[in-house]
Amino acid sequence: MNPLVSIRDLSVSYPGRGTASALKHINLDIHHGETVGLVGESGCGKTTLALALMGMLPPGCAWQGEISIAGQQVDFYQQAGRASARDQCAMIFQNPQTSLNPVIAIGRQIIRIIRRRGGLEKQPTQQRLAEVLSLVELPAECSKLYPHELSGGMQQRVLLAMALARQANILIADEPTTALDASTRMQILALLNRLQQQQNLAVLLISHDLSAIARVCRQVLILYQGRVVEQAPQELIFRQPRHPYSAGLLAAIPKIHRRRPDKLLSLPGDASLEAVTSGCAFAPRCSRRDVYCEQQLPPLNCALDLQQRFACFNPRPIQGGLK
Amino acid sequence: MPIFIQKTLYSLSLLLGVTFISFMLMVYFGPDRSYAIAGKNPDAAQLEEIRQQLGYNQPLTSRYLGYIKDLASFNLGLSESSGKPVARLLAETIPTSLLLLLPGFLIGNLLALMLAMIAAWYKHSWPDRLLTNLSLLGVSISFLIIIIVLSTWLCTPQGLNLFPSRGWRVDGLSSWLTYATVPSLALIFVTVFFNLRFYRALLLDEMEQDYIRTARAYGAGPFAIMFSEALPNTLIPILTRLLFSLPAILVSGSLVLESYFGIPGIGKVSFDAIFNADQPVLNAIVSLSAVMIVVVTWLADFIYPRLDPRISQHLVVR
Amino acid sequence: MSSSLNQTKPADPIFFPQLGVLVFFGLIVVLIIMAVYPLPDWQVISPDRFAGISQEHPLGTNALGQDIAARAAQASWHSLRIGFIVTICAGFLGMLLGLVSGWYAGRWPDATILWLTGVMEAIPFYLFVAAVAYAFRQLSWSMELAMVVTFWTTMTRLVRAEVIRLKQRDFILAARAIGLSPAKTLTSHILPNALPVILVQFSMIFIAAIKAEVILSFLGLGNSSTISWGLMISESTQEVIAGHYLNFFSASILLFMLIYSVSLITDSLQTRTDPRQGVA
Ligand SMILES: Nc1ncnc2c1ncn2[C@@H]1O[C@H](COP(=O)(O)OP(=O)(O)OP(=O)(O)O)[C@@H](O)[C@H]1O
Ligand SMILES: [Mg+2]
Repeated sequence: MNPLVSIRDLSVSYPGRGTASALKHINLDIHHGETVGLVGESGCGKTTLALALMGMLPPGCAWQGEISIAGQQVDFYQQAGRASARDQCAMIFQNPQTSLNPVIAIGRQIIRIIRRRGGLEKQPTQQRLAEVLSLVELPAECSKLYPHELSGGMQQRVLLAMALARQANILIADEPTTALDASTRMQILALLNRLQQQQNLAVLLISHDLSAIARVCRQVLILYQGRVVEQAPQELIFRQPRHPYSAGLLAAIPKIHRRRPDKLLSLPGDASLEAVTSGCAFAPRCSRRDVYCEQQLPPLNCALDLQQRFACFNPRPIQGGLK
Repeated sequence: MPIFIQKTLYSLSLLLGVTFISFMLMVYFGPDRSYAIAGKNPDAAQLEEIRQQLGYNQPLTSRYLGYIKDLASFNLGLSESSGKPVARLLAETIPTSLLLLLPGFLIGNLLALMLAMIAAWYKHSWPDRLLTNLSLLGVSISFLIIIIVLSTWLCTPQGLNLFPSRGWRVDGLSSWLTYATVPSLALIFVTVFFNLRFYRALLLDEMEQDYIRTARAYGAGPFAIMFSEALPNTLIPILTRLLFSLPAILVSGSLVLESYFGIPGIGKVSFDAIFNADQPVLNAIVSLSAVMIVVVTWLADFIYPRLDPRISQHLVVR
Repeated sequence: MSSSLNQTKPADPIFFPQLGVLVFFGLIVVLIIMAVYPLPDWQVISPDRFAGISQEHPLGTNALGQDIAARAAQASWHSLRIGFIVTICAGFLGMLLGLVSGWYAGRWPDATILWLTGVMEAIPFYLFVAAVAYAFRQLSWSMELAMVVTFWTTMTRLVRAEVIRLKQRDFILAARAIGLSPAKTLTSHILPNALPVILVQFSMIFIAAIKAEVILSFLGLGNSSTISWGLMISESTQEVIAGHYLNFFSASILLFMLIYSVSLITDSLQTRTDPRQGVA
């Protein structure tokens, strides 16, 4: 089956940043109904990838590569408002409070999207509005309220309702729960999960929060300084990360990774785009590096079982074998 | 409603301040009317009597209180140069000025807003840069120069000679067009360039907001983004600017236009009053302008909560 | 499907950012030339009416046979003098009141200053100038006085807002915590940070003063003992209809050069000091 989204060899760099790229040679397929998690520390290029998919990179960015959605190649600088394959995508954002227009009632904001979508449904707009609101478990009366009258969790539900109103097949969620408190976070994730299954949505979930990723995503991508360093099904990556960086990330959350953080894997220094070497970008911070790592770039290899890919010359051994 | 009372008190204190200053400048230190009233060669006793009548000998506070009392009871007096009641003079001339100024003012602002939208949409690329450069050029050309160039070009035999160069005999749309086109064009020119950069800055600020990113992500086009998303969020600063420049336009802006084109509006009246030292008229106009500012402030408090649901009636910030 | 990887720097919004300085120096050079050129006195009336450009009258003469170049030079100095006086007085007055008002935000000095600002803004400017000119008719600088008394308000509002904004910053809180006096905190910590706003507002006042002076003297409310661009333009309204443009052009071009160059310089000052404008 053809993938819904296919990203080939995508590189992006922002203006005024020299030759340092925010994304480097990214390859990614997302199939119908697939859930992909994107993890990495701040500044590694997660949002950039999402924006590239949405055609919303700021003007002046330099890019290379190809993106196609539903078999259709898309422009990087698509004119806003023009119908395109990108209509398949919807995006929800980290800060729901500021992501909604403050002076317009949320019902109208959703209706605008329904109207723009037009054609496909014969359903009257009001009915459709009620439907998407009920899908995200908001009472219908909410449509008369303004964003500031809603709680953070409700605002994020409104954004989800907007995504449904758009009838998108792909939902990109850029840190959707970061601004929410713990219990609301769980509710939103559960809702996201349920909607994903009900509507058979493909989801690209970007998060610092590995537990969120673990709840929602089947595939996980670990990004480091604009490169994919490890890509594997969720169970595999949580059980036996092969890349030292992935292991370090996982070590930071004691709940999933019960072992105490490996001293060698704690992450000293910080990731900055300036520290570009000809070798592995992680090498300066890596405890497993050797001379080779600093000179040559490790390719994204497959492990023997073909499910787990990692870009490392000295991957962590599989611990304790497969139980 | 303590907020309401607070605001009313503040407005009253503004009015008191303005009237006090105008009293001091125009009455207390203003022209001594006793000579004019007494006629030629008055003797000292006559003068003294007139001064007594005018209240010149009373202490400052009681004179000021009398002045306020007259204003508050709309007892504006008679114009000294024409003898007409000042209230009637204002009532006759204000509509003329509004007819002359409002269309140009509104068209100019609308045009500025449209151009600002174009500039904000094409931020930092050539349409924006062109408009920015043009507006810098435009604001640097004095109002006077625009008026003179336009009227020489459009109203004299040297130029196209399409319009009369002076006067105001308006009784319908076509006569309005005859007499108001050239002044309006000048006003539009100034208004556009005076406001373009302000509106652009407002819209640029809005364009950086997250909700614009959301709108773009959900397929909104340039028009939807500008008119349905950004504009509703900039209405308050835009309206503030419009409302608060209205009194200034009406009183000060009309001065140049009406005296140049010989149009009998409030500007011409104040121009004549200035040169004839026509105290009652000047007093009335200054007070009128202050009252307008107060009214506009109240109006703003009333309208803002309707434009932005986050502002409740009680929490208006100025 | 690929674009060049070369990086584009965000363009300066102004086509020729140096133009402002260039025009300004052009104006100064013109003024210097006019100062050293042997021109007749600007007041002298001669029978040589509406003379064209000649060695004796480089810009011709007006309806009274007065030398336009001499008048233009005199008018320029007059404008510049008024511009600088008003800018410095109104600017510092506004700054001082803004600092006090911002520092005591919410307390009575602030309330008083805000009230005063509101009052001054509610008075129509031209009528105020006329009234001041009358009330202080024995002074030759009543117009300057009236402008100073009205032009400080925007500066006060801006500086007040800036002080309130900066007061919340950590370094100011720290300075206050270690017991630095208000005056010292204001002058050595807040003022330098508010400087961009203040500088821009200074040149705004300058422009406003020049423009106001021209309009006032055009209307006949200016200082009648000297010549000014506004008076020249006012004279020229009749001459232009008769086809004599020299008076009009000399005054309006000089006026335009001054305002345009100062606007351009202000604008690049603003662009350069506003961090948000620098990044695309
Ligand atoms: N508009 C921009 N102009 C210049 N550089 C940018 C811009 N946006 C992002 N960058 C740079 O590109 C890199 C990747 O940024 P991106 O926002 O994609 O990171 P991220 O992974 O989403 O980080 P975070 O977790 O903090 O959201 C960062 O180094 C950032 O500094
Ligand atoms: Mg991000």
